[in-house]
Amino acid sequence: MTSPHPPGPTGDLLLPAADTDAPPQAPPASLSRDAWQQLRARPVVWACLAVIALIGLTAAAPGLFTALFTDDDGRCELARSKLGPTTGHPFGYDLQGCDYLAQVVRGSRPSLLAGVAVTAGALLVSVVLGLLAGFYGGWVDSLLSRATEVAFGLPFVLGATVILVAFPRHGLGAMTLVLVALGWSTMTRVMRSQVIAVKDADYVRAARMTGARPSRLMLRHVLPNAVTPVVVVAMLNVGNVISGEATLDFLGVGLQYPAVSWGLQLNTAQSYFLDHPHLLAFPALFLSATVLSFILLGDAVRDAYDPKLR
Amino acid sequence: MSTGAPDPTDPNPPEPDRPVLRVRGLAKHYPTGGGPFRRRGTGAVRAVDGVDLELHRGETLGLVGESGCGKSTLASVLMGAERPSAGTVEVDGQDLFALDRRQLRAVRRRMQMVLQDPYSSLDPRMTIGRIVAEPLAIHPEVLPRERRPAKVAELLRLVGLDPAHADRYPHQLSGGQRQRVGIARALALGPELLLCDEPVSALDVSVQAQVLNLLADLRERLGLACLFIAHDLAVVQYLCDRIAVMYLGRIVETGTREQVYGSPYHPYTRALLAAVPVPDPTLRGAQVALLEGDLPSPADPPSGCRFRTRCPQAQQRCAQEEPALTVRPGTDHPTACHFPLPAQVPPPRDPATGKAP
Ligand SMILES: Nc1ncnc2c1ncn2[C@@H]1O[C@H](COP(=O)(O)OP(=O)(O)O)[C@@H](O)[C@H]1O
Ligand code: SF4
Ligand SMILES: [Mg+2]
Repeated sequence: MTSPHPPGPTGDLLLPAADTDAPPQAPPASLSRDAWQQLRARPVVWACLAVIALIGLTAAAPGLFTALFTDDDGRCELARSKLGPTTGHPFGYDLQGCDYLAQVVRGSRPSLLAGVAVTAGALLVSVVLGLLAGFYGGWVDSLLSRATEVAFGLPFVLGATVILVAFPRHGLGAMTLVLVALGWSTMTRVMRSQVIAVKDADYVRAARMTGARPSRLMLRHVLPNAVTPVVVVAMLNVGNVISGEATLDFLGVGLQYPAVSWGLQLNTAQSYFLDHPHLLAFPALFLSATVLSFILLGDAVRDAYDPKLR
Repeated sequence: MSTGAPDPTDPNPPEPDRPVLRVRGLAKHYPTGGGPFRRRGTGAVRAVDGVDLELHRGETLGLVGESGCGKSTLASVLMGAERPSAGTVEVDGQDLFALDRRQLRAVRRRMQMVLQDPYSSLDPRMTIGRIVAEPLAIHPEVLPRERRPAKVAELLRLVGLDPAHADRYPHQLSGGQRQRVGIARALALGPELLLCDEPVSALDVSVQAQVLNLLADLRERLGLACLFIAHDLAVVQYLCDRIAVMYLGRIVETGTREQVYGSPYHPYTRALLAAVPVPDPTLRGAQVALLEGDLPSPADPPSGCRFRTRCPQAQQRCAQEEPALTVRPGTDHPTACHFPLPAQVPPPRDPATGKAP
């Protein structure tokens, strides 16, 4: 390296002037703003958002769709069992002779609730555990890493089946807990490795040397700089959770009649779908569209945040 | 700030002219290998290996040495970020590593550090205002919350930045501006002692002088004691009252600026000086690059004098006996060399210095 221009003999120093080095080039917007700008430009993102918004609306206000699209009066007549689509009842009737559109629309709620609740729960668990393991290292890390490995090794469907069969009278809350318990490990690993990458950064060292407590280092510096990839992984995972919940319902170990869900509707449909394909088609269509939208959206978000993974 | 009025509860009554910072026999060894099968004492990177330093009030000490000689390691031990393997660090007479947590917090208010890389030392998710205010948030007793924004503006002005920059993010600033933010943060608590670890080496050459000027000016105005780390003698030339030259974890020569620049005794110091560009173009041809080869590994330092593998004056005794850092007959400041070079100005011009007889 060459020497700087000598500042002249000590003593008569000038007041600092503005630096003459290059002003920042096109100011790189914050990471999230950058990502959003990329996302906005992609039609597939808008399509996914539209589907998710629509499904979200069905979950929030199922009555709206029933009123708009069917003549359903809420009564079920066994005489109409499994009848196909007719005017006034575009999806036909289910096994009990209830309006199938109303049933399918009602089925979106457990799927979305499970998707959101499980993701939020797993995200919370993995952020906390990953932060502690990565930041403290040592025995905390060893302990948590072993636990993560065990959880990672559990087969998803089999694990959930075993637990849920052991507690037969469960609702959506219990299922959420089981899915969180089986789903936190991947995100925890991601979080832990992010934290390890961030915790020795110079800005963390600077705060530490000023006397910052570990809680401050973790919450103010490490967490904001480490959490983005985990959030992205979590978003990628929503679709998987929804299909997982439907799978458990379908297998008969998830929600039970009289609950209404797409997985249960598919379970019922399997015995009749050769003669009454609409029983299978409509819940399958809704489920696939929802899962696919979440997965494509998650992919797009990941691409926008981390071009390296593309 | 706690300068001035003597504290009656101070366990160490101030001795006259007690140094702000006193380092004795400091060593930091990093065990090599690792993993569960590491046996104790198999080997270590001896990043810092027996350093003595003193820094007095208002004084600036330049610590100079090649990259990898242990300067940053020394600085982070001095800041209490890492525990030393041996030796003591006293800040105003208090042993830094014997303090309880509360006392350590108090000491940390008095010593702050400017880090080398202004790009990695500012949290990218925080605004400049929050970065500069963070030391005040960590030590809330220093200033009530409502007065902190004014203090931040004052600090930004002090380092030559527009207080309106407080709302910006680090990536919106240039390297020089970022380093000014780093300096403002280090000054927020009104420290007595400032450690600067190569504060300009990551900056454009064109802004280095400006940031150096700022540091020199602040040091003067605020009466700071300053440990200024650099990897060449050019940067510290105008800033420092005293110079310590470090090689492979040890101090090899130390003295006032005039002593070290005027009559360098250690061959390593002379080599570093020879690398300093001379402003007068007629003298340039006379410069000889004495330093050859790489810095040996601090995991396996040479026996005897650590510089002997690259020293043009090396003799047999150098491999057998480690030279102590003392004032030798015929010299006026301490040097760790068995055969100090005779006082001689300007530096040697004979390119064929070769091995000494
Ligand atoms: N945490 C560490 N573990 C092992 N070796 C280290 C560590 N930190 C520094 N070192 C080694 O110590 C030596 C001195 O490093 P450093 O203090 O950064 O030198 P400088 O700041 O003078 O360039 C180098 O050889 C470096 O590889
Ligand atoms: S002791 Fe010997 S090898 Fe070391 S610097 Fe002096 S002359 Fe060179
Ligand atoms: Mg360094």
